[in-house]
Amino acid sequence: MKAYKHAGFILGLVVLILMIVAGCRLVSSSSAGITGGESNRVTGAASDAAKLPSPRIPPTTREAPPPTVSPRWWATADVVSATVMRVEGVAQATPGPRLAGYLIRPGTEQPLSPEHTRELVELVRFDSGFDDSIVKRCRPAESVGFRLLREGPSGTRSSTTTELVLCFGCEKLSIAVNGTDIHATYFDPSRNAFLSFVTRILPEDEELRKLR
Amino acid sequence: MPIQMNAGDHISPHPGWVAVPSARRPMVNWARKKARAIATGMASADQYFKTLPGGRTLRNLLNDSTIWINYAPAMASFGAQSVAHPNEIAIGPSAFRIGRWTVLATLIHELAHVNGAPGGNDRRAEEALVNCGLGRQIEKTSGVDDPRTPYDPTIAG
Repeated sequence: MKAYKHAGFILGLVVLILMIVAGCRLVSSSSAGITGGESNRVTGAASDAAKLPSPRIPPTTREAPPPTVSPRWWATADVVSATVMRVEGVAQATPGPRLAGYLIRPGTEQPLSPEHTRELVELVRFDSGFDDSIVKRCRPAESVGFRLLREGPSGTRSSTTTELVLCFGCEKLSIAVNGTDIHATYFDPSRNAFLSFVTRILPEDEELRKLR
Repeated sequence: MPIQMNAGDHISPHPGWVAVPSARRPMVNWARKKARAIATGMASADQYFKTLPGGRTLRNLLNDSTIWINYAPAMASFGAQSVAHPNEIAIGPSAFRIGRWTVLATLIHELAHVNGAPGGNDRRAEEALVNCGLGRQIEKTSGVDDPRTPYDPTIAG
């Protein structure tokens, strides 16, 4: 009888601890729900998002990626929504609104669907798709830009904007966060995948369709 | 001993970078000679290179025999510098197709990277050309490229 009492007590304690832990996780993962209703957070493939937690960055270091986290992963964490637009590589002296240093073509910004946003994040996070081993001299050509709105650190209402530009002249991916350039790399190994992606999301863009 | 051209006497540690084909070597030799003439005759060249993070002059870089000029047959861009092996630079077929002034411009641009000029969207490597007489200041300040000069103000990185 005594043994059963002790076992019951221990079991109850274990259940209580599990409930407390589950409650804490529920509080920390609740979304601000920028778009309302069911959370529209997109962090890559649903199954992968479950396996690979988004890096949690303390607010004071939000402006720069921690050294152990690839900027491509850090800058695409906790994406809530995205837009796509055509941009151009121009001289620094050329006036006009910029996205990651590229000039935005007026009237071209449009929303990106959650499915395409997920696909974009997956492509950007595909580590084998990038070449960080060189720095090139090349002339920019057809370029596509993306503006990603990311939710702020848990418990805050702030948000972060990541700007991505794919330049198909140099196969260069440029990344800026809140207007500050943080990283550039080359997507030569995944050029075809990115080209297929942008021609699907901008099917009426003749310039992109002519690219091989 | 001066900056070296890979004429088959060097195995670049950067994958895919090989000896400059014999048909292309005269252009590289001309570019090296012209670069030395610029370093000697144009004070602004050394002055500019000293402002780059590496702090070396163009003359010093051109006299560095540990720097190798390779050929990158599969590269679509004009040229590149190896990040892992910073003294390895390469010139691609497109630069040779355009001509010796583009080969020279690419050499100067890549030497700016060897001297610490950042990549990404930074403009300092390409602006070395203006200070070496290979571009006009008005191109930089107006943002309008003059096709008669090798400098291109739209090139970043």
